Amino acid sequence: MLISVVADYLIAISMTKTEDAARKKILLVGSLLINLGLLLFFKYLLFFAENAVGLMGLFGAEVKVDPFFENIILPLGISFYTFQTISYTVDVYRGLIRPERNFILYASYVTFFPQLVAGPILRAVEVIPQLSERVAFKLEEFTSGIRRILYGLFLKVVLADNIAPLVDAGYAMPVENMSALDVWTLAFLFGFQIYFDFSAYSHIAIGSARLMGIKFPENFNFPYLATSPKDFWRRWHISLSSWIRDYLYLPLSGVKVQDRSIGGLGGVVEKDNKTKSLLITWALMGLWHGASWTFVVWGLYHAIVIMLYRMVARAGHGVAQNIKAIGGWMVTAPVMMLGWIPFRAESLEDTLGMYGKLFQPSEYLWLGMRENTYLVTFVLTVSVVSTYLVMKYIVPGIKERGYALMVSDTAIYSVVIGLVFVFLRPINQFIYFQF
Amino acid sequence: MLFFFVITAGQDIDLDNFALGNSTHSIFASIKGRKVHCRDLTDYEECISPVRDIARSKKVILWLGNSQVHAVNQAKPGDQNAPPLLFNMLREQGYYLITLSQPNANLQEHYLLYEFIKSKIDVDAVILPLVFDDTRETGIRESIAVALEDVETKGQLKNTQVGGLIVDSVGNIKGGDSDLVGLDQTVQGVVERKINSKMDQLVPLWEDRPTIRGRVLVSLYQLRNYLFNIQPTSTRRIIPDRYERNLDSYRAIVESAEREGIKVLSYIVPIRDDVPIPYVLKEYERFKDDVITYANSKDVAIKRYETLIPPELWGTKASTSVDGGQELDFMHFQAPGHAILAKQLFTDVTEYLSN
Repeated sequence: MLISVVADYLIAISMTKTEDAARKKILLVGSLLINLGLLLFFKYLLFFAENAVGLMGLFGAEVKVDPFFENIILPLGISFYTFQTISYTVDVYRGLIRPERNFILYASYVTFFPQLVAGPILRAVEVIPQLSERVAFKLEEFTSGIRRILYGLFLKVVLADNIAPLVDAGYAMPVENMSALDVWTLAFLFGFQIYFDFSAYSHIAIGSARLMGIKFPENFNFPYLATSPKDFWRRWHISLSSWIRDYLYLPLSGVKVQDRSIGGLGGVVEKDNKTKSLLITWALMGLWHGASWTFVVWGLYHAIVIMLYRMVARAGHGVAQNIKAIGGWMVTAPVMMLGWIPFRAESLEDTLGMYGKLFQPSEYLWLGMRENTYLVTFVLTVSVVSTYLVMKYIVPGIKERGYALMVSDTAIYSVVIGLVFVFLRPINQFIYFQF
Repeated sequence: MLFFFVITAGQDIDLDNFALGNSTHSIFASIKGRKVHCRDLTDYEECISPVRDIARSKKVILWLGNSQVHAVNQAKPGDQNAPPLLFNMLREQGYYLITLSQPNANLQEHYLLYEFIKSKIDVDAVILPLVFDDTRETGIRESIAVALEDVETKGQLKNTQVGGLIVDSVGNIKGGDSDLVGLDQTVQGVVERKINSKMDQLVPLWEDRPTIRGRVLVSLYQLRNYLFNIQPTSTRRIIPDRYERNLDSYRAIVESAEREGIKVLSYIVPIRDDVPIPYVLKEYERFKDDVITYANSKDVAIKRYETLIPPELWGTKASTSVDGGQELDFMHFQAPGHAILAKQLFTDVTEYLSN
């Protein structure tokens, strides 16, 4: 992290000291090489070594992976702060921001502890001005931060960590002992686990920053209520999908980034190479999540889903908005949930085996897991939808009535605090810590 | 505060034995001050130390079981369950019986316990109940998983495929989670232990959180049973993966015993038959067929005790639903039923071992 911080700090300042476009480009490339080089070394070297050994094995060579590669320890949060520093130098290169000359301020932006380990991935323009402003303490911000932290703890220790054993038990089963309904159930169940787990971290990060008066952008927005893949990626890990769009997808598509984009991978790019750039982007996005082919498959799955969506999207013209939304949700939710299978499965073989089950009618006639697993999945699905509807249609009404808001807030947070208190124990690490 | 009152008020629930109900009692007997019936690794030493001390000349029989072995339905003062009765009968014939039983014990746990106990004392025979219901169970409880700290036991388990799966599934016993092992000696680990210790002193409820958590989960369990009308008579299906793993564990026990000349007597457990049994009949028959076919292919005695206990010796237990009341107990019988079981086992064990 120190190398990244120092290198990009110096490179960004150097970029503004020259008018020579070629020299600026060389500096940018230097920054990318340093950052991606570090990421490659710590995160992907073992993966490449194992694949090389595997390839050589196919030709009869008897080689093993050197223990050096196996002993490389992955620095915590490297995937996140690497993207953060890259966004900084690229934005300086593009002329969207001026470099920060105060090293302490710049270093604070990169190393700011609430989001260091698992995001949100922050843009310099979002955070550095706030850090330099040194806002005065506000009780309202402080209490808002506490609420977010409590909410995040609830999602993590009460929900995510209690779903985890069901998911682990399910995915530990040999695929031949899974039915098609088990595959669907595990897809949904892990989808909920990773959503609660990851959004919990984001809430805690956002809340922790807010204690200090720093506002982070939102990272999740009820993604499982999305009505299309495009909508989903505007709601899920928003900071990553918007980063990918601005620093990978649009440049690959040959689109000049005029301004900071928000909302993630939303737009349709009217360029001939959009399919190629889509596939490359998503393959890399998959690989960013983990050094394994299952993550690449995860990425390509979403690329294909987006391509299919683009083909059918135009056919929806003329259909009533409500019907389009409901129909879109009914298709999008299961498709997105199925996308989690390669993300969680132990191997490519398991992934393909599980997907294969979905196309065999006879596999829908039996169940391979304990009844509670299906029940919990069903309850969670209903709860997530209900919570969204309550937030959308009932909460605004309550907020208008101060007394009602106070009573409901007190009741809700009493239960949240109680449950967090009871369920707080040595826990599984956050899923996204491994990235 | 109201929330905590609701959660902590009311009767204490023995979470380990919640499913037994109020009118069924667990008995872990001692005879002449020595324990003959233990639970698991928390107390096993009390059961096996007499073997080392005074019973060296006797042949040792190990009985592994579930709550049917230790629980007495409608228990009255002075009632005895099968283990001490069988112990006394077998002692006269020169055998020393050690019994270990746990609620909802599965065959994977029996396998682990068997290898562990065998590594501590010489075992001459094993009595193994085969409970169809418990083939739906999986996982190794912590009080048995600690057996994997024993190098010999772990090594024995790793010799079989199912044993390897058991070892992998348990993970790191001390840390409880491999993610947390590395934290032990770090600043974070030390600080967390200090905070926990302080909280235990300052906040009475802090120490009780596991119990409160259990009560929350039990309440959810009762609510689930009520909402979905789940009763003891509700049909329970096979869970294929768990069934296979448990049957593989049974085979692993038998093959391990065979290699060391240890006799195995397994029995299909009694179940009440005055009402429709809560299994898919085809699956239940398949289970019996599987274990009988396997046992007959090996030098293993297998006995069928399904109808051993007459209907009048089965009873009811407190409901596991929010609406209270009583419900049928399919697994636990009254003290006279234990006497019948002990007598039958005595006959079958002595006959088997004398051949």
